[in-house]
Amino acid sequence: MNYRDPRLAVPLAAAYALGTLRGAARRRFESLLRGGQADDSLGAELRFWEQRLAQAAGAIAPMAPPAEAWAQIDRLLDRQLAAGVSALRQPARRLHSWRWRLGAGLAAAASLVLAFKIGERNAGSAATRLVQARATASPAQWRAMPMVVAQMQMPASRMAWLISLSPDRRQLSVVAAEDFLQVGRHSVELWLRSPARGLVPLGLLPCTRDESLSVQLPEGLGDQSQLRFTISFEPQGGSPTGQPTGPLLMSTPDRSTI
Amino acid sequence: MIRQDAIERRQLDALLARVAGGDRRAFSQLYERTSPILFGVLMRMLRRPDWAQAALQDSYIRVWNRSETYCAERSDPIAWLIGIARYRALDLLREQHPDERIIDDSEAVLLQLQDPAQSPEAQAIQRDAIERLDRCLRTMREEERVSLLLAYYQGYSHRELAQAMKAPLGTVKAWVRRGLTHLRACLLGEVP
Repeated sequence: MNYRDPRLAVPLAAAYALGTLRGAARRRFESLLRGGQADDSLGAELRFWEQRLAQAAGAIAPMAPPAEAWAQIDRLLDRQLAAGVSALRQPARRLHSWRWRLGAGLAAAASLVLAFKIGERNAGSAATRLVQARATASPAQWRAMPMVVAQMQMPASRMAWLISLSPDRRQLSVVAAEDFLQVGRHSVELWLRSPARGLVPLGLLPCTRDESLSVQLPEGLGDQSQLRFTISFEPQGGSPTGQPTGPLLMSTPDRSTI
Repeated sequence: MIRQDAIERRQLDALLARVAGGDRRAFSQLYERTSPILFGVLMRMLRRPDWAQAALQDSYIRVWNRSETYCAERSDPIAWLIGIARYRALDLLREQHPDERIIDDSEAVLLQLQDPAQSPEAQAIQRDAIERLDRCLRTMREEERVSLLLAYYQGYSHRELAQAMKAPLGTVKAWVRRGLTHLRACLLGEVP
């Protein structure tokens, strides 16, 4: 069926939002929405109905929920996050090994860090290259490895990035530790805070495992022992102003180790 | 009565953005500010406090997990939250044994839905953005309006609507279909 045809999309979306679309038809509709088998006209039509029908909820008097409801949500969330931590243990080990693989790979091929362009996706092939490089790294190559300067893990989340500095201290490389859930129509942006220049934008953080961001360390930062990294939540494509416009999600502690 | 001015909306948008970043304090604040709205909707649909509480809990876990998909440019935060709660309530209704479902076909419920201005809380319908919806609902044929309102507020299926309105299933399906078509045209200003 052609769901771009409004004659099909309109009644389906309306019945779905109202709740009268049931059973297999409802599941089929959800599958269409998730799978992108239809273009966004179906989603747009659904949003139309959700917005309009939600106005009818204005006629419903709010009611305070039982106090134990929040306690139960808190417990459920703890349990979910604990499950996430368990799941993270495997990636955490991988993160550890991935850290040396990153270093070894960069050491074996000094230009490799430059091969990581902003936004470039290199999952899989990058890992293979890095493992091979590690296996053949010499002591001299180890000495030339980049220095890990920060590991930023979002509180209560699996989102984490490893930030390293090239041996000549001119190039920063940021690698995503894991595939992350869709960040939606937003971006997460990395900033460097220095006493001399304030917040300096570094770029949008990658959200696919092994995807990396490589950026020249800005000049004129002053005392490098006073540098901090900060992550902010921004509209898709990053801050339009050159300064954070969304909430600051996290920062490294003072006296970061660049 | 739900009031959501521009400031409130921006604050809710900011809270949702922080929740998307894994901020549990923001999540707690979002819950404090919005859970009475969602619980009111859920109680209206489910009629049982234990079901409404379960649906509320599930809804906020979904909000935590899906906040990254909220798009402030295209959605309204309250509408987005109500959508999550209503869909969860509909899921819950489908999972329950039909015998446990309370089908209220009392005149009182139908009268309340037919004439919302008579109920104090429904005076909210007179306000701002809700006015058009209210006006459109009032231009509809009575059986179409009641079937849509019962489906929305109570989460009734076609079969349950037929039972509540004492009408054949096919007839009720036609009322819902025609009602939605009329409502959409009216909301878009295509009919008076």
